[in-house]
Amino acid sequence: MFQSGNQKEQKITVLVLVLFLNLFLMSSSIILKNKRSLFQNVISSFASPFQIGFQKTIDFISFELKHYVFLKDTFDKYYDLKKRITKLKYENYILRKKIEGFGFLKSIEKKFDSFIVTEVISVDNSIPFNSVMINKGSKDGIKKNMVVLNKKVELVGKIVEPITWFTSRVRLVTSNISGVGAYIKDNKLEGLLTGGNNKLCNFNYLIETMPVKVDDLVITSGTDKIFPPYISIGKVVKITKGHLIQEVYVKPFFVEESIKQLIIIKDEK
Amino acid sequence: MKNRIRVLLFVLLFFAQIIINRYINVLTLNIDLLYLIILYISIKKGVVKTVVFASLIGWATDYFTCGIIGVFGFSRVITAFLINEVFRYIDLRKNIFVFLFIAISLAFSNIIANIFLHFIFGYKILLSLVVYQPLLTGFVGMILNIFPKMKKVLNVY
Repeated sequence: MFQSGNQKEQKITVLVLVLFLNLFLMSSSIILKNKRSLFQNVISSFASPFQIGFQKTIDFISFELKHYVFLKDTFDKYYDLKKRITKLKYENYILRKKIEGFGFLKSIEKKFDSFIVTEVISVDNSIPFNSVMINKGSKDGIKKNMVVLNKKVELVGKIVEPITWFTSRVRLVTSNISGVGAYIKDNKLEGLLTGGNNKLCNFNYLIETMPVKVDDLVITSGTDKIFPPYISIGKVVKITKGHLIQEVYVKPFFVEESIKQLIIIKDEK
Repeated sequence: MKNRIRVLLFVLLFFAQIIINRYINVLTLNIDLLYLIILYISIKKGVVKTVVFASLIGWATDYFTCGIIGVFGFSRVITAFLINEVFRYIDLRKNIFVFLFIAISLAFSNIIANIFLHFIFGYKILLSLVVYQPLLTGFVGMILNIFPKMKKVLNVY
């Protein structure tokens, strides 16, 4: 492609003009030494808002990010501490019970090594006080008949089928198909605690003459070979004298509180 | 559509340059992304537009580097003009030529700027400006040119 002489001249003129402009700007920098010329100010004014805007955006993002990281760290620490508290509570409970009934416990050499803290993900709505679903399953080592406690180390129930990879079901002690070997703590009267799909459990097989009173503490006896002994279940809330036996109603402690977080006793030695 | 993407790409390059300048201590990347815009304009547009845009982008480079307006403006204008004259003799379909084209032209442009900076303003001859920056920028330009979609958007050939 051939260009006309006029066009070429025009282009060269523009080139020379622009080059001269740049040289002029450079030379103005020499004359003014370190002071900024008007044109420099114009260029700075044009570019600096972008930089400031960018800087502010970055500062804002990093500030928010730092907050987020800090909050996440705090949350992780909080969660760890919560776990530790639960563990300590549990250990404390075991030790307390061992001290309390040292003589009685001589034959019992059971000790729980580890446990799992889990969250309730759903509650059985169709059958009240029957079962709940938790977010731990066979991949976490959950097995059938593992004992489930609440945060205060009070009995909640046991693991039943179905146990999936990620979830499992807990049958509550208030379920009408549940049965727990239990004692009245003060006088060691033994019986079987069964649920009724409501807030109360029945303490069965207690002869009429046995001394039981309201507010007596009920604990596990361990005779059912599923639930370990000395775990608090609840307290006696109502007694009805029958012909040969007395009807004792026990209110489990866990029904009084939300059961969002639960403890599963994993290994029993 | 392609035009919009092209403009967006240039804006992104501009902001990327700001980021590089902001975090140069951390990134230790001495790249002149604005030069890639000059290069594109030099190849695609006529002499007048090339010269004007090269000068404008050169001023931005001045602002980002030494702060003396005109130094890079001058050197970029000369380089852009020369690119505009010679690019048709170079096979830009081959990536290695793209790399060499960017690296050599930027090195040439930076040498001119460095001469001014050295003799008039007392700066040292900077190896990073004359060697590293052209090589890195050439590499980035080549990477951008590798993708067929990018080639389509830039419509270089």
